[in-house]
Amino acid sequence: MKKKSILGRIIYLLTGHMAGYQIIQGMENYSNLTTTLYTISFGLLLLACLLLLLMGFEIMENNYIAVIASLIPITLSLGLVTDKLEHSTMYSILISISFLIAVALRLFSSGKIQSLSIGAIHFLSGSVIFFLPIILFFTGVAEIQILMISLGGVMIGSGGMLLGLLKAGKSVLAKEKVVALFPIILFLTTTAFVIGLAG
Amino acid sequence: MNNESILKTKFKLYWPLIKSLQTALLLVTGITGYVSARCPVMTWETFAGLTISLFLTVSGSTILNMWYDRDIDAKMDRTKNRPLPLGTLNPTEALMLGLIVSVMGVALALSMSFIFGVVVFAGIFIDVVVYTIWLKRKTAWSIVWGGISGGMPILAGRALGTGEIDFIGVLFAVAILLWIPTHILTFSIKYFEDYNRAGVPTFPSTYGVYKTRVIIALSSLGAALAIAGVAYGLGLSWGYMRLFAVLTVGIVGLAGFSVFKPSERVNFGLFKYASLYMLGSMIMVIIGTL
Repeated sequence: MKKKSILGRIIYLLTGHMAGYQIIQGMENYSNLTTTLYTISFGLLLLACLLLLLMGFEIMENNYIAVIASLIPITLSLGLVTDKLEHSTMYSILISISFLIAVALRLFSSGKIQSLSIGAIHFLSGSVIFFLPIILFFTGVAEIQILMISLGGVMIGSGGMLLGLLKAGKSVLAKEKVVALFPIILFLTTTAFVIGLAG
Repeated sequence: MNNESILKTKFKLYWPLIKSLQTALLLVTGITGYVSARCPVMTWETFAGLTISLFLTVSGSTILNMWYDRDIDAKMDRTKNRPLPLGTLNPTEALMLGLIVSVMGVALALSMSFIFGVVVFAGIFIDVVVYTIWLKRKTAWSIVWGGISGGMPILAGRALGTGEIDFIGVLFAVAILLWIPTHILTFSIKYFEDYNRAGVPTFPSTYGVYKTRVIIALSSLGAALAIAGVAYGLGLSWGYMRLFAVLTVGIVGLAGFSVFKPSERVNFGLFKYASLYMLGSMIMVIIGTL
């Protein structure tokens, strides 16, 4: 097992604290459903930080992690949709079915189709996280702060791609660099989401 | 050797006897119990007395345990380098130190409040006499008594704050009692050979590793429910309840993984997470009730 750097540990701890703070203090004025969805999203970010801190980067190699981690963009995008849009049923059904398919494939299938299903979920939810805040801002529905959510989406998407390429053996960066970059990406992502939702 | 260097040498010898991290965690639980009582009058004198008496009694009981268990510590790789099995500290000196520190702690606790002192005394008696001397070498179930003694600091803190033993205090103690197996049993799986060599009966050696993992999972769930009950009973805000729920999902998930997808990494990850979970829960109760 590779030794975790002190800086990496501190960053994971800070990120976890920020996600924890958001769960405790940052969920006022939302409906119960939106609060639950954001709690799952930030809760998974918090748990990811704690597990990476305690068990090391190797946990990312676990087959189930990819599916569980996909809940972060799913619940965040669902939270945004249920909070900001009047009609959210179609997207909710679509993303929920996609998730159930990904779970089923993870349990009963193997090979590329698993990765494709997870990729589709990330594409769908990632698009919502990136584009919806931009639309909301330019239509005057939300303050400029909300664009931070789009930025967070780009960052977590980049982190996801780095991990995906690493797992597929096609990484553009050495594993050590990905390991060193990951806490920073997670920190910046969480910061962006917290600021974005405060708007 | 001058006085200063004698003190330094003694401190270096004595410090490993108190298992500082474990002592600190139990101290935090005691403080949590006290703060959770939301005393209308919370003085620094009482707070300092609580901290010092709990530190002394927890440290004292740990020293007495180390003194009594020095023979089995010498047989285990994990513990053979402690000062007593290594022979760098005289056993009689350790016994005297343990007794003096314990008596000071209990005396201070009794002088502050009778009920507080009684609970503190019960904790040290159960830990040293019932758990270590009587049951530890006889049955794997001794950890239940270890758990009960582990729950005493939080019950004592709560009793000092409220002046009685109430339902929340008992629930706090139950949470610690149920958390102890998550902590100790994952440890006994990791150091299975060590405990066997020392002839200490553990759940893995008595009932097998699988059943032990199931017990860990169930006790984690029980501890989480007890903590949730405490948080609800104390009227913590929904924000804190949500965070409790998230952290609980983590511990229950890891416990589930250790049953269905066991590995050394998950096992030790659960051990570390359980400590962090308890510490996090205590800090949340403190902040949430202040």
